[in-house]
Amino acid sequence: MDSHSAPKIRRTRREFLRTVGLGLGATALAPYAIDPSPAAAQGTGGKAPRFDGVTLQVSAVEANYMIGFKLFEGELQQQYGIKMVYDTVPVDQLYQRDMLEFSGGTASHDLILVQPGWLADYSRHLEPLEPMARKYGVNLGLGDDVLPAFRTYMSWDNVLLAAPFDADQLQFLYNKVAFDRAENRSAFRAKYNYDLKPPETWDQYREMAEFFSATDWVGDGKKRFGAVESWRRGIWCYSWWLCRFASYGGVYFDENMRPLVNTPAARKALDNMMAMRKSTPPAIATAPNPEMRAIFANGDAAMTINFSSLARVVMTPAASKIVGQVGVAPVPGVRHGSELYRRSSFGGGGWLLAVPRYAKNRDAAFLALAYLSQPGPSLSLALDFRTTVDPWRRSALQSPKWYEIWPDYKDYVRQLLAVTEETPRTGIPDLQIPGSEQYRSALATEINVALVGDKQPQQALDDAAKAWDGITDRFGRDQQNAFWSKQNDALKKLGIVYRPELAGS
Amino acid sequence: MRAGTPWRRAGRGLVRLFVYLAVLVSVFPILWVLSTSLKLPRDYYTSPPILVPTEVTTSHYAGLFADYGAGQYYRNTLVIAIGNTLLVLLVAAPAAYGVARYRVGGRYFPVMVLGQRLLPPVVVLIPLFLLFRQAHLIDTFPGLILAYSVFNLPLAIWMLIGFFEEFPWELQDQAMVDGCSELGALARVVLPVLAPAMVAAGFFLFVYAWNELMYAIVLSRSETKPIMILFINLLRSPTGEFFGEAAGAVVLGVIPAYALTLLFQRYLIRGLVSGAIK
Amino acid sequence: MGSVGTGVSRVRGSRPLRPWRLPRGTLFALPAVLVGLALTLYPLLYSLWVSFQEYNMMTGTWRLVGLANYTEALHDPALWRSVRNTLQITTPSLVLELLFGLALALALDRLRFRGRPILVSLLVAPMMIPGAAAAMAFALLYAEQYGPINAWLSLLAGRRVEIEWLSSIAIAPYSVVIVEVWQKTSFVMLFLLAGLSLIPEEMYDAAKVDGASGWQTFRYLMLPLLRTTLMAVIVVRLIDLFKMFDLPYVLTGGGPGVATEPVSMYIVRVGFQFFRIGAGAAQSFLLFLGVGALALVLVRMLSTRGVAR
Repeated sequence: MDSHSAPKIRRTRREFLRTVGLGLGATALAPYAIDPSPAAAQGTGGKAPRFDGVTLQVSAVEANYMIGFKLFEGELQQQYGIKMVYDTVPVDQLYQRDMLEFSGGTASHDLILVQPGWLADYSRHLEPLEPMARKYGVNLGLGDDVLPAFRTYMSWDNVLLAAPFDADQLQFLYNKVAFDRAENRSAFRAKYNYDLKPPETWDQYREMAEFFSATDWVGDGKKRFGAVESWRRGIWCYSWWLCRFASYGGVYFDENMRPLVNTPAARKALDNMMAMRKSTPPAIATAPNPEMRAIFANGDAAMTINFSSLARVVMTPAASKIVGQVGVAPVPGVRHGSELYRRSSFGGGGWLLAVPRYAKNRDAAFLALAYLSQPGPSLSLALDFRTTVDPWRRSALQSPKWYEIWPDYKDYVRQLLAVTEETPRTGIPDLQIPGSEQYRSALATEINVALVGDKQPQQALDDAAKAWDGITDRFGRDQQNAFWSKQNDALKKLGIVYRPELAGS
Repeated sequence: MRAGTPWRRAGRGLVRLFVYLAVLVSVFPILWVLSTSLKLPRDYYTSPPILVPTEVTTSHYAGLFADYGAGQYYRNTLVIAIGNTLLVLLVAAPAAYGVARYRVGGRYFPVMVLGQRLLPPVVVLIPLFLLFRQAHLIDTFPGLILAYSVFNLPLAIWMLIGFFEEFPWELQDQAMVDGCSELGALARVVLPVLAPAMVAAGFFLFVYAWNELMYAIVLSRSETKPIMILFINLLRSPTGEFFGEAAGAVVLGVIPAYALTLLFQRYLIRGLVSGAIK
Repeated sequence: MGSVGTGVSRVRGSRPLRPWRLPRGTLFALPAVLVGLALTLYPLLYSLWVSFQEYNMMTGTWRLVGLANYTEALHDPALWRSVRNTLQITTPSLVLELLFGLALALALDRLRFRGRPILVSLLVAPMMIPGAAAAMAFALLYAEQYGPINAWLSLLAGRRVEIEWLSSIAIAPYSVVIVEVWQKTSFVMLFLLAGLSLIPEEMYDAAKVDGASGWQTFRYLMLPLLRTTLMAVIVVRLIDLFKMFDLPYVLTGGGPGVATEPVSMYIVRVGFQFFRIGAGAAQSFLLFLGVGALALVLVRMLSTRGVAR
């Protein structure tokens, strides 16, 4: 039939062209494959392989990341002849869609963004990066310059599979009007017997929240909130709980794969959140994060813990009413004798760049990945706030360019950079074993149910532990135990071990 | 306008008031979305809340087109929605005719047809994805137009059966007695009367196709992405700073659907409300 | 005679069952059936087959587990909780949509309005945005500190009113109902308007001649004639309501806790989000059977009721 043959001819011609293109490309690359220059830095003119006519399909996940990629379209085109087109998919559908494709041995995208927690599940579908790096003589620079916690994100089973792209973290912000005002300081001192300053422990945080809650700490007659966070069911209540749990000495599992999410540490974390419900907005457990952030950015809350992007948003006049009135501090911890034990969490907002093994343009994708991970480009991504990308390299944090953004608030910049550097040094990385998303979701649901008062806290945590055991069994206990041991070792290297005594205090 | 007792008139007045209130309630939240799309981020949430911001910005819309490529998404959505609506109507109308007139498939056939709309999209999408991948239909317009029929075709058949059942079929029989063929009678007598109903059905189909998310997520990539994906993306970003842009995407999405409504207004409203039979 | 609905307008003798007519009818339905078969039968069967298996993510292999997914689903208290949530949201939504939709349709059909087309166009606006957009809009309106709804209530009450629209376990489901009714009432209205448009004007004149009051006209003339349309719209809405996902997902995320998590959301979360396709498929089929049965019962109830005369 006529209509049937026409598309077939077109397709065959397309395939023919593609084969020719591949053939030419292969011929062009052959010299480099055979004789890679070991120390070839990026952009050494004539040595760079060409991929003219190659269009990379990029799974950019979020529209703002797409802006980030677009920043480098010109350079990638110039250096390698690579073009990029973008696909954005909502985060919660991404895992499912990728798995659907990979399960059939195909991939629609050449360059993808992956959540660190999913690396285990994605691992057998990703192209190892080191052979590619050797092939093209590229130094990925993913060694010590990467901040400590993020270093654990990039490999699975000792194979380098991904490079960081975005690196969110949870930070503590406070309203300086609340903390610097003389009346507040004297009233606080009178009541609690210590000075008002960014809280060191969760108990202090709670006390300060109670102190500020429903009082007029600005002096204009309006009563405001003590603190605001985001405890909506999902990644939010989980991450905000996690930073408390970890600082009470908690860790995901013990050596025998027993979940530790119903231990005293877990309970203390949840109790702290429940105790703070009366000093935080009632909608905290269901409202979307933007609404909670707005409460702080409007100056209606004295303190907040939120994603690192808020620290930048509050200094933007178009988005904040408290520009210049904010201070940054590390997330509170737990005091144990003379030790102050702090462990923030990363909010599950991090993203890694990777190349699926079934991608059509693996090599070009790899080079794009390598380019975007270099110190220069990754810093540029972080400096352009439209991309919402956070820095993950030490060198990025040492750049003087941050001071150029807010020349009038050098102290703030100093504070911010210090905290941004500390969190990856002490924070607890996301759970990175197969099925991490399931563990996360099960626990998040239970936490949220307890927070809204629909279940007793201990019951909720026990149910979560039971759910976790169920998930472990479904994946195969021995296998999970093996994977967990590996991550546990990585955590130990960062100094993170289960410390039950901290919850006893 | 029937004259009546004062009670009657007061009653009618109340009814009128009810309708106007309904209009207000229908429109207000959309106005709020429009307003959000023009606000600066610091005004999304204010106390007291403001409908008309003191400072208006078009940067969200500019961003949508310049940074996020909304223009192309727009075009994609139009192609998919219009294409699907036409395809579905073309296929559903004869089927509904067959059921209404000839009882094809039996008594419960219509419900069974509709029932398949009941499966959560995810259940259908996974095998559909595998099927489409084999057939190289991923990220193609024909593929998406075809895929959307999965939820729109049953709805169309169902709706049209409902309308067709109400039709006085003796009019067609009359025409055939007078010498027309079955199809001729269809064209001359039946279609003109049922046309508004079909346009009404088409309107629903168009709206469902326009606003569809799940199918687009699974079956489209960079070439055929519809605009609502952009919206959902901007909305669900974990740090959520893009309400203005998301709101703008919604407004952009509503405009063509609205334009089409106004275009078919005469058919739709006059046909529906006054009825060609009357 | 078995029928989906018997309109008064069908005259008994005018549908002959001449044998050579039958293939004709089937011919008309053929394209739809073909498309339907290709696109829906395959996924249905595939999903059914999948529901008896379990997918191991790490090895990428399937394992036959028989009815295990189904029994697990039936014994899952969380699934039943989500069914309860769904009913809690679906029932008021359906009732209110029908009431308001019918009221609006009647009003617009029988009364003269200036600029009626514009009114209808405006009334139809909520339908034209996706559920997620409606949820976003209302999330802004419902905001406790910053939302206009609480602001106006405060104005009316003279003091600060802060109803916890979305964070109270008791209120949240009804907040969802409000958004749903807001969105889909005009769907019902349009549907019923179309149905009303098919009632010949002579019938109203005849009723007036007979001296029927407004209420009598409604109860004995319009309602019976609308029966098919009403039934059609009820079943469609029922099915769509049970499938509700985007709205609660964006509005409350299923919270507070699990108070507004409808069954479709539970299935997606537990069944599919983690690629547990087998379990998800089994749960979906159970839902399908449940609501399908409900729909069939409704159809039966509404179509065997005799014509009131």
